[in-house]
Amino acid sequence: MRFIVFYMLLLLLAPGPSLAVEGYLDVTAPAGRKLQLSIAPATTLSGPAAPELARELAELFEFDLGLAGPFKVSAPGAGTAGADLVLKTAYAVRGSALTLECRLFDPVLNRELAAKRYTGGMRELRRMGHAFSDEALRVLTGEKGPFTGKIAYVTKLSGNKEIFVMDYDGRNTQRVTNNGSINLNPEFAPSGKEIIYTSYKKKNPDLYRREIFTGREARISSRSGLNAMGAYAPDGGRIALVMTKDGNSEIYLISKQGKELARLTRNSAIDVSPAWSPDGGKLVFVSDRMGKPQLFVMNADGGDVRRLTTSGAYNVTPRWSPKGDRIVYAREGSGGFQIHAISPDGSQDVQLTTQGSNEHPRWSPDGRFIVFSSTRGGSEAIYLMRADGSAQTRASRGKVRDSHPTWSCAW
Amino acid sequence: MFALSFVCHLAFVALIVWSQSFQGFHPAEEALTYVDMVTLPVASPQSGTPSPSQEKGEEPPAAPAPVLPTAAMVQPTVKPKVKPLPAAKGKALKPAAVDDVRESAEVLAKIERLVEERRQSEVMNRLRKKGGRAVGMPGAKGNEAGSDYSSYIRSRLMDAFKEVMASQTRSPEVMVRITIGSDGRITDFRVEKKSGDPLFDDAVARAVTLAGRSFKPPPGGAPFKHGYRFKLEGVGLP
Repeated sequence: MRFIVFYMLLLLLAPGPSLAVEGYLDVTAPAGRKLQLSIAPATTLSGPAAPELARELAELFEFDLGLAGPFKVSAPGAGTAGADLVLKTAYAVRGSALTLECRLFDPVLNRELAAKRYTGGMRELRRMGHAFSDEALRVLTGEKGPFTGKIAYVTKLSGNKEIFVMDYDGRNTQRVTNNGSINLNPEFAPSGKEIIYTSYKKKNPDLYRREIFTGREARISSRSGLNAMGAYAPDGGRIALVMTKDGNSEIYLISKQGKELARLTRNSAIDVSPAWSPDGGKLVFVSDRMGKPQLFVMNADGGDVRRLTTSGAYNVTPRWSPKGDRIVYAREGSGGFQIHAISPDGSQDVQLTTQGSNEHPRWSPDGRFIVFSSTRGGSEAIYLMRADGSAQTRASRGKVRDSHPTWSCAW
Repeated sequence: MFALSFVCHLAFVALIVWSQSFQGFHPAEEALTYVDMVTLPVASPQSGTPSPSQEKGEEPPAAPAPVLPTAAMVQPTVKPKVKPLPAAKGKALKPAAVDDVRESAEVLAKIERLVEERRQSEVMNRLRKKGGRAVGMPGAKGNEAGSDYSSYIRSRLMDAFKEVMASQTRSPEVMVRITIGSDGRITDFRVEKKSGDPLFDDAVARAVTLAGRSFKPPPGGAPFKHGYRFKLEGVGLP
């Protein structure tokens, strides 16, 4: 009897099933909608109209913000009715000097979200536009965009493999090396102002460090054998490097001046392609110690090695995302390499590309995008995609082989 | 005579007890609640809340006249062979006894009507308690299912939210509390819990602003305050 009374009391006191939090009604909408961003036709602040400039600016915003993901961008002339956001630009051209004003409005809330005025030369037009795209993403998403960053890559434009840099969208290509030799594996320092790369210009594959703006260069590792696949630690003071000076391909830690600090791997297998976790505490690398090239993770001192990938016969070139939640790499299949992304605990291994052979994936500094090289268009070229594999777009515009891309932080 | 009267009264009392015994547990009452809600007369179309004062004066609509079957459809009927009841030997039913039976039937019908009215009254009371003062969708006739002001606001918010929704995370959730003045304008909008996704937070603000342009005033002229939780349907990143 007591049990029955107790049970009845429980039934009376127990809360019933509820779909909403008490006192709150649920308001829902389907996921997947994109913000309608309308680009208003550019106007002049003063001076003559420059329709070419206005058109180039509109195309730039359309490409940047369309690639970003959350927006559906409508071009100038499509009207701003019904738009969630309106981007307005005004310019003044005086000789070779340019003043550009960009404003982002929210017509629903009737507020100005961002307003910037840039001054410089006419050659700075695209940089100004990318800077405002970065700013638009910052005010809307809380994270600055990566569009003012540069992509360094290896190209056979001059016949041999040289390193160039370009805007992330493939414009404004600039030569970095011009030594007529083979130059490989460019990697930006965290500051974005320096680059390390491996060059055969003195016959041996040595590691060089070069200041982008001054052009000053130093050979920081010229041990016998391979000095390649250098990767800056997040603190910018250390470099993980593959060397064969001890007879086998191993991963070492050196200072940015080239002083050897530690040997991280020690076995008879081939250990290559080190990449740092964003906190600098771990490294992901490739090793064939279990038969075939697979991804492994170890502590920054070389300890606690564990296998990361368990499927795929040939997994190479890993890179840890800036947020630390994903590792992107290339896996060889029947039709060449494809880009995959995996969580650092080995779960959620997802294939991101399907067309052509796709290699050398690298993250954008904000982790929104992945840049990689692909043969899908015939010759190998540089492509971009969002971190989830969507919006795969060609970036490099040359007709020669472009490969080994890497994305810098904002210049 | 006395015995017959006693029997009739006993039967009458038994009928009353029988009919009362069904009031205590009426399993169909919950189902009737919904039906009554959409069919009961409405006091004020503006508020959608039935009021007892006007309810009393209204007569239910007359039932439609039954459609008589046409001659062709009339089935041949067989006259039942009525066998007259054998009269009690030496004891014919007196007119006074017949009057008693008729009177009992009338009283019984009256009681049944009273019981039915009482049940209707209970349903009405429950409806009033459920809605409270803020019941009623402005401008509606009051015969819509779930037609209360908080749901009306939710519906307007949902329409606006679908127009402006944006997010960059998988399951964002924002909780807000909205106060609407007697003129239908938003007088206070408080975000009680952000989602951590600026795109989604802004979309919620945009939806509330957009929907708030066309809110109808709350019924009764009193300010209305309620909490709403904004979230995504389904799963997946945009």
